Amino acid sequence: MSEKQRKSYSRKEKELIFDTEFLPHIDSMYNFAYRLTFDEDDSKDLVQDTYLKAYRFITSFERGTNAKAWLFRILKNSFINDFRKKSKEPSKVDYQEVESYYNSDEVDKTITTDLRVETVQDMIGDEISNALNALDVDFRTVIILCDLEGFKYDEMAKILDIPIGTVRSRLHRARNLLKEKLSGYAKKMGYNN
Amino acid sequence: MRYNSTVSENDQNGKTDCLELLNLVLDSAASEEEKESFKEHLKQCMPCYEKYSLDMAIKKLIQEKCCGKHVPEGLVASIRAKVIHIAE
Repeated sequence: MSEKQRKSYSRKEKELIFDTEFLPHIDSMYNFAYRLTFDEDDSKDLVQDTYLKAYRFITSFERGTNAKAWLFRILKNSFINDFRKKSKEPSKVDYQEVESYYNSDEVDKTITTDLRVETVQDMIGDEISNALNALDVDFRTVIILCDLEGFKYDEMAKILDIPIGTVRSRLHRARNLLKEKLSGYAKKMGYNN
Repeated sequence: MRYNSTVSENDQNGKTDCLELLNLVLDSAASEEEKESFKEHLKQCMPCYEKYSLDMAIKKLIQEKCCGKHVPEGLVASIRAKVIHIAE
């Protein structure tokens, strides 16, 4: 938002926006932060940083617009710019190699599983959570935004700073990868098909 | 039920179209008309029916199992206190 579009709010109005439009999303924000960091203390820090930034930049927010998407965008950027650099989590794989593989057509052609609906419905433990957590952060994020938080393509595009077409293809690939992970768990659980 | 990525073995364009529609429905991005059209398509396309059933089962499981994290006690108060400090 340009300088000209910035809103002018009184302190009372700012607090009202903060309490009525921002804070109601804190459970979703915390859950998102936890799914990104896998650590409760880091999630608290990330959520707190996000809310403080939201307050500092509140003049960029227009009342009545999509506060949840605005907050998620700040949290995602904070995670990438501030948190990820500090993260002690080692890079497990060569990221370039992973990206080029996932962006190729191969990923759609080669991922086939014989996973059954009944097998998925029998997964009452942590299998789905573990499978989601095992996905690369970019794929994990689109699943969370779409399936857990119910964001639309255009909202996800804004949150992630990517074109809508990329949101759609990333979601499609993320779903395939998730199925592949679940299929692996199903085999470990003793389901043969 | 088995998941198979091949929706229609004979019709490449048809396969692309129904996969596209399936993804729109799955991502809650389909219009009412598209949803209705997909519902009709499912009655005559077993591979799509199976893929859709599996994808929806996974989506439902994610919604049930992956949103249990609630904000720790005291965090809201701590954030509010810091915001008031900024405002002053």
